[in-house]
Amino acid sequence: MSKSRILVIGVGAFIGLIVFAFVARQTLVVFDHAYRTPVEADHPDRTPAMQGEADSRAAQAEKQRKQPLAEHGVPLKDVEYRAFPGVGSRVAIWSVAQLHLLFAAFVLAVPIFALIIELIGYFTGDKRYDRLAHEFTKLLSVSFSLTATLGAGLTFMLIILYPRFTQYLMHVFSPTFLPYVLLFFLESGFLYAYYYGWGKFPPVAHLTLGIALNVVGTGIMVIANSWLTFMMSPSGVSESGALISTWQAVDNYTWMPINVHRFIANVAFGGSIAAAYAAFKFLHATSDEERAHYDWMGYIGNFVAIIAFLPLPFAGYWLAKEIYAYSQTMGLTMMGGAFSWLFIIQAVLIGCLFIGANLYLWLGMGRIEGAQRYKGYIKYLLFVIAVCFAVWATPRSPITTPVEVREMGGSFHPVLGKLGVMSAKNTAVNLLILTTYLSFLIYRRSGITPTVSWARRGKALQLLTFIASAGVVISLGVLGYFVPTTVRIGLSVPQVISVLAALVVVTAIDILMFRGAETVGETRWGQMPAISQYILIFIAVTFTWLMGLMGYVRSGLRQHWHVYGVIRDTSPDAFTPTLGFATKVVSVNVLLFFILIALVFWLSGLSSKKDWRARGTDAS
Amino acid sequence: MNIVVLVLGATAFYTIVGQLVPQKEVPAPEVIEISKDVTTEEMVEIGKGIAQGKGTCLTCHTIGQSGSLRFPDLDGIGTRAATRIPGMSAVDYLAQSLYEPNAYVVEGFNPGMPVINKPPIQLTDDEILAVIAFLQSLGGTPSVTMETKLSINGGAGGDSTATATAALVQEAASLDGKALFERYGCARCHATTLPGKRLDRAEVLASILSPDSITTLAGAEQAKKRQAMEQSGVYDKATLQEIDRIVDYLMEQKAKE
Amino acid sequence: MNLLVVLPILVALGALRLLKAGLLAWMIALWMAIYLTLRYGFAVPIPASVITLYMGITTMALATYVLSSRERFASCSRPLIALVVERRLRTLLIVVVLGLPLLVAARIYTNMSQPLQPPSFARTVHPAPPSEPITVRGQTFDLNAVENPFRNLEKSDPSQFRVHVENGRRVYYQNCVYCHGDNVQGDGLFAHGVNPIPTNFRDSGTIAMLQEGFLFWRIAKGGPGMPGEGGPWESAMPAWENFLTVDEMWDVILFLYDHTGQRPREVEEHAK
Repeated sequence: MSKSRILVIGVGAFIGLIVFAFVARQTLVVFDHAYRTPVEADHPDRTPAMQGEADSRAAQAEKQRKQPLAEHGVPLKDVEYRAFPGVGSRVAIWSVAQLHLLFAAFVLAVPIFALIIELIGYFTGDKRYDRLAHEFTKLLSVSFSLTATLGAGLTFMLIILYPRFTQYLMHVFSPTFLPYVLLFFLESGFLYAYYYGWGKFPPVAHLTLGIALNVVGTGIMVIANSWLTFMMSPSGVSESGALISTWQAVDNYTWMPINVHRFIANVAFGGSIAAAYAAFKFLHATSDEERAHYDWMGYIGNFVAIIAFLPLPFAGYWLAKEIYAYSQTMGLTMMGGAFSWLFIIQAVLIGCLFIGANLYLWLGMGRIEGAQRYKGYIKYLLFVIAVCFAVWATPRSPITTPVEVREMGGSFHPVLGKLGVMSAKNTAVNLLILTTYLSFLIYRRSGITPTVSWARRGKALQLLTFIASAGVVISLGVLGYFVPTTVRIGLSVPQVISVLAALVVVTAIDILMFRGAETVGETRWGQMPAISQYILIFIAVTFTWLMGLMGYVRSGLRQHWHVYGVIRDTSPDAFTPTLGFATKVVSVNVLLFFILIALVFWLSGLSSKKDWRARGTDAS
Repeated sequence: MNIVVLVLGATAFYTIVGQLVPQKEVPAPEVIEISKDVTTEEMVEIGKGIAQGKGTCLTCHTIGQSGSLRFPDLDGIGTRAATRIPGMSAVDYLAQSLYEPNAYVVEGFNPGMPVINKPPIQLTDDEILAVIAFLQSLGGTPSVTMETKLSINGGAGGDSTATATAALVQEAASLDGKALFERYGCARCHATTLPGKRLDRAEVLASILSPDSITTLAGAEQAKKRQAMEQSGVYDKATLQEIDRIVDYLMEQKAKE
Repeated sequence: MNLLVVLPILVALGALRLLKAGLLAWMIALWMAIYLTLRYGFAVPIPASVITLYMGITTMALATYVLSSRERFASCSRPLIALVVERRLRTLLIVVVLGLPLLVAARIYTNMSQPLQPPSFARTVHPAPPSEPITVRGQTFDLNAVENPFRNLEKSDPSQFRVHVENGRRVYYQNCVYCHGDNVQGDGLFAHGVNPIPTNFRDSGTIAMLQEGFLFWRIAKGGPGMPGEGGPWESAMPAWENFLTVDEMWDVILFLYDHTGQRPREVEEHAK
């Protein structure tokens, strides 16, 4: 590459960024619909009153400057808050915590599925899996140090910006900090041993290391979760905040649901990032062999992400239920009050995820010979997904103009109002999950034909299971309109159970039926259109953004409390910002994360490059 | 390059979705100063503001809706309030439902309302008076003034809370176990006539002081029970000696059988 | 559903099917069909914000379908590429290139030239009736306890009950029909001139959830007797106590429930 080209690319990228920033700003201005005050002249006419105010301000400043430092300094113990320059304390701590969490999630997730893949490789003896697991862990070491750095940054910023609150948290959780540090120490030991010891230890010893790494990692997450769940649903302290029992403070209402929710979400998130890494490598691959490998890697990563993603709504449901059990006020703030529209945004994101995941599977059918016979089903699957998506995203009370309200005769639409309630939405989500699973089944069987004698009956049984489950989901959803609230809330549990049962039954039949199946078409790894790889990256961005958004609602739910109901937020940031502002911050965080993760990809790519030699010695 | 565009595009798309939903900023609630000389009509206005904003009442309660509601509709509460509990005036009933929301739960609804003068909502006594005025105005004529003394929070209204509480403590100090049992509203949920031979003295004491320690319930059910215990106010008002006396009384009942 | 809109759309789609239209044509046709159905196909119009949301989802789903295999993508992009490169389509290309910005401009123009609208108020449609007894034509009624004096005839003397209902029908069509409409749906001749709009009695959210005493109060006292929270606009409903007898008002209430097949809300047992 010549120097001038590098210069052009550099300058081009810079100009591109400026143009993008400008366009983004203009777009936001247009979307804000906000009235802006006209730009003021440089030298407005000075009225005597203005002059007087300015004079007295100047005099005040002068007086303060002349005073000895000690008089207007603040004594140490009185500091409650310090301000972060520019964006303010809340946004600063928000960004750092979010980035820390995203990297931590990645660092915790990769060992989980690296271990699973390694285990598969160990039991099947397929070397490909071992190589894949190794490649995943390659991303770990840089991410791990980034996580630790961001964590340290977060701690320092908490101490600096929120001294009083941090002190209180330290007081309540003092016994947990040393074990945390110890676990962190162990984690780094295991992690580096696991990564650098690849192929150097006997396989069983290496696998044991992997298990230890995961146990320690989960332990770290569980301890950290206790701190933040305590902020949401404090227990073990008196009404005035005096500590009664540290264990009770740890074992608060939302602790376990958050542990489970985060564990599953981490795996899904890690899988999607790993798939994005594979997509990135696929797009930059130069040989067919490389393309085949990264295509497969992306497929596995995405597979892990989607499988982990399917039970996530149920875990979220449990968490929400515990929030309601802890405080009805908090639950209603979440679903009916200030945050209710956030869940419409969430529906849009999850709808995009489902569409993306399905599209990837359908595109994947293009690389399997013999998948042609299933192509016709795509439009029906897509139709169901789109309808479910639309139902889920339908707001209960939509944004309306007065004219529209007049036409509708009220703020609820007679038809749409029925779609905006929980009965319809739960049904839609369950059907989305079923449909996505159906997509996957079709993908799975597109290259193979069962040889067992009962194949026809097996297929019929699978179909029946699907229909039965969908029937249960829909009829319970319809029933929800006719029963009192107390009964209606309970209906979602049988809905979920019927879907989970259908998934288990269908999978079991599928595995038995395709044992020793005849291959009718090879999977040609690497023969994937580039668009599929962009979809993987899109899924990763969506996952990250979704995590940012849901992280905001979990934290924002506390509203004007540091520790809900115990320690009040008296800082200038105590108000709950608009959703528009929150989404902007989330977007910036996501972009920062992707810049950092690009750095991680680049750094981990370095190790596979040839060592640098002094110029001129290359040829020798 | 395409990847960069894609990442920026996807992020921008979600940001725009975020701008399209209604934008509402929720300010942190402030203590609302209500001077003593506001008229009842002004109290209604102030109370309405509190009910919509700081008190978050209207997040759950509706005014003038029917159908399958999750919480009682407030329409007409001004007249209904006087008829809910025989012998209780409208003002006292409304005060009770704010200070001790689970003492009386309207038929067909689940308990679940938080205690309004405690965190996280934490209205002051003056603010609660204004809210009562507003509630009375829904289908009725408000009768409270800023000078109204509520019987529910210990006969105290406004600034005299502290002295009144002190008087209450004084009064309670001289009561025996049976009187205390009624004073703290235990009898609202618990019966003493049923055979209760399962627990010894230490266990009874433990199950009062730490309701989670001895229980046959689990999860949200237990949480509901514990909330009811916490909201009964027994932990704030009763001294340890008094709880001791209540336990003595309970053990006597057991011995009688 | 507005069949006048939905049927032509279905016919047009059927015609596309017969003509064996290409994928691109189908995608455009489906998009427009869904938009037109949402925009004009419902008897009660859907709010614009929801249409935007649904069209976003539609766009995404159609794009997904086009992208879901190479063949589909190719068959969609081929006409587009042809449009740009082929000479014989040059005029069409020019029309498109000029037309698209014009469309955007037109859209912005229509968006911006909306007439000024008052902000929406949270209006209490059914304000609580006064707790004190009201006086109508010299008689006092306690609205919390009052019942329709003719309601019991429904069981005890059905023929007499019909007489009262028929009298109510006469009263309705002589007085109320101008605003509340022929079909008691709140769409009478004058309905469009008043704000708030006349009540639609067929709506399950109106008389079915109210007691007969409430209706009696609203009919007798009308707009002038509306409490403050029913505002900010004054209801145009006259105070019918000045024109009708008490019995006529009870009769018309009987008629309203009878005609719509609804039942009044029972008077609550307060002593419970």
